[in-house]
Amino acid sequence: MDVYSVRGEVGNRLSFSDCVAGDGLARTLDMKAEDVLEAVTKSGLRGRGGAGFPTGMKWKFAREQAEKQKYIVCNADEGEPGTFKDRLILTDFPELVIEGMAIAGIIVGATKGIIYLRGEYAYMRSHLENAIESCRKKHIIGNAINSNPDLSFEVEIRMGMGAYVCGEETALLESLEGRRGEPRNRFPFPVESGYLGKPTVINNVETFAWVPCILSKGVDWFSSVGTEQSKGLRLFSISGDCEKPGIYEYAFGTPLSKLASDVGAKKTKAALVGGASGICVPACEFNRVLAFEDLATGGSIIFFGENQDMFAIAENIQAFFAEEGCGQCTPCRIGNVRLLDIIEQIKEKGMSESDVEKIKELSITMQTASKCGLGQTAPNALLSIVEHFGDELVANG
Amino acid sequence: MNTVAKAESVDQDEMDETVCKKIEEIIVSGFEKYGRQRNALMPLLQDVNHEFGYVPEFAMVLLSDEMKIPKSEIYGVVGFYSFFSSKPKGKYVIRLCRNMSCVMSQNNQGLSGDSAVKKLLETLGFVKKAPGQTQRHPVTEALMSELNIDFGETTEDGLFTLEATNCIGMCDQSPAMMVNEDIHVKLTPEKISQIISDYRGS
Repeated sequence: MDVYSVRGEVGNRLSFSDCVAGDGLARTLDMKAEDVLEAVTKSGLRGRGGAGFPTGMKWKFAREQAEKQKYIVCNADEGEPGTFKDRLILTDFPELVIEGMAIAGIIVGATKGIIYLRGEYAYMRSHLENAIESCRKKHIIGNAINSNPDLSFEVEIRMGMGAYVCGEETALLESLEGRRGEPRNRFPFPVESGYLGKPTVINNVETFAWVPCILSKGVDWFSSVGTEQSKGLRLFSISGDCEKPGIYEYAFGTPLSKLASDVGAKKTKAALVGGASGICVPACEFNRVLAFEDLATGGSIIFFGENQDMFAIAENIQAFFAEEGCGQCTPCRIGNVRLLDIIEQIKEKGMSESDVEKIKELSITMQTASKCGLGQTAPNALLSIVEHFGDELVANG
Repeated sequence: MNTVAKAESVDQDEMDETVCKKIEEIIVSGFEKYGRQRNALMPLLQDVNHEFGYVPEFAMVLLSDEMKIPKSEIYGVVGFYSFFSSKPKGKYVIRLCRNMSCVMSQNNQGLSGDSAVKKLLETLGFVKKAPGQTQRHPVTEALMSELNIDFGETTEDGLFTLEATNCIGMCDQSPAMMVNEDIHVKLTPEKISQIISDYRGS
């Protein structure tokens, strides 16, 4: 299958188009590893998967580990409903991703990288294998990176098999190790004990792709845009009720209203920011900004037109979690099914005060006591829908 | 690995000898490519699943014996991932996305309701089966009538299995579905007829 046949539309100019594979690595090799790490840290780059952990700090922790064998893992398991920007990056800029992994390897002292590609993206496996081969020819990876015999880095692709929870980094590690994708306890964090118990850096596709760009274009280029705590640019996957769905690049701090107008979202009732694990923002709050300080997201934005039934959306989301939870911990396993039950009941009888209480109580339990991010965030969208669109639900009764 | 005799707990009557031989070949060559450590299990199972469209019990028992992994754990891994199957499926597995953007774009083709989700929930036992005819989306309807099966079922000729799946990352080109590893986007009832007849012909 031709990967470009489902490439999708890119709504505005992407900075990745201005970065040449190999330039960032060349800069890296001119510098001491500490200075490269310092540059990544100073740029303010934070994880683009959604959690937003500072990339430089993660790499520093991994670098400090005494173990000889370390791993770099690229999380290409974007399964959050509404997210597809990594698909575009892997289609158009796979070499930047591989280069970012190689740079991470040089900094933390790892010689092996793994791309964990979601099963749904199996169609681009050979495309990525070609990109790996091309990087080897350009000496971005291989036995002698940029002809330096002391530096080597190899990348292999491992496939996911359709489990959303494997986007959670410790579930991803379990899957790589040949187990069910059930998240691990922290501590220890993967930077101390990750793949096969060795120090492991796991970053999102987009996070890796920004690294060579930051190094070739400079820290200031990157950190001069964005907000205080959210530096730089990021990609957004925008879909739903709008004229021009697709992949867009914006600086952190951009208001939701700007996105709505760029994609031609008209007569909009709400936007789901952050996918199924995100929150529903009503149109009257579209002045809110996309940044870790306000609306934190992995880049998924879905617009809902005024004719959409917010309750059907809530049901869709809870059904998603009821199916995709790993089943390991009780709050998530039972909680999602119970929330779905409550939604079914409300659909029949309308929503009462006690239903709202039940939803809130159960949600707090899930947010507090679930083992991983999946269960902790599963009730968020429903809570925001009850808060902002509760009157629609009462009206059903 | 020289013999498959260890895997005797499998009901041999059900397994064709040539199938067993093929499984053995795949696993032997898998061991050469991926090794025999636990972290080789996913790619090994993937190779078997890719060849047969499911993981026969014979393969699970064989892997258990050869890799010294309890059978229950191998069954557990196969059962966990939705793209593995322990039962035979159609030659082409159709997975229609049932998440928000895909369902909404079906809505916008003129019908209200949420029947792909409903169907899935019924299949999983989360909700009671709705009495009578439910209104279906045009694409969902087209798939079901073209194949003459319900979600979770396989056509009599063994060609197609129809399933609903979660987000396949094509929200901007919705509605979308997978057929084995291929992706089909911007679906319409007309496109569905074309796609199905193309697979029937190939």
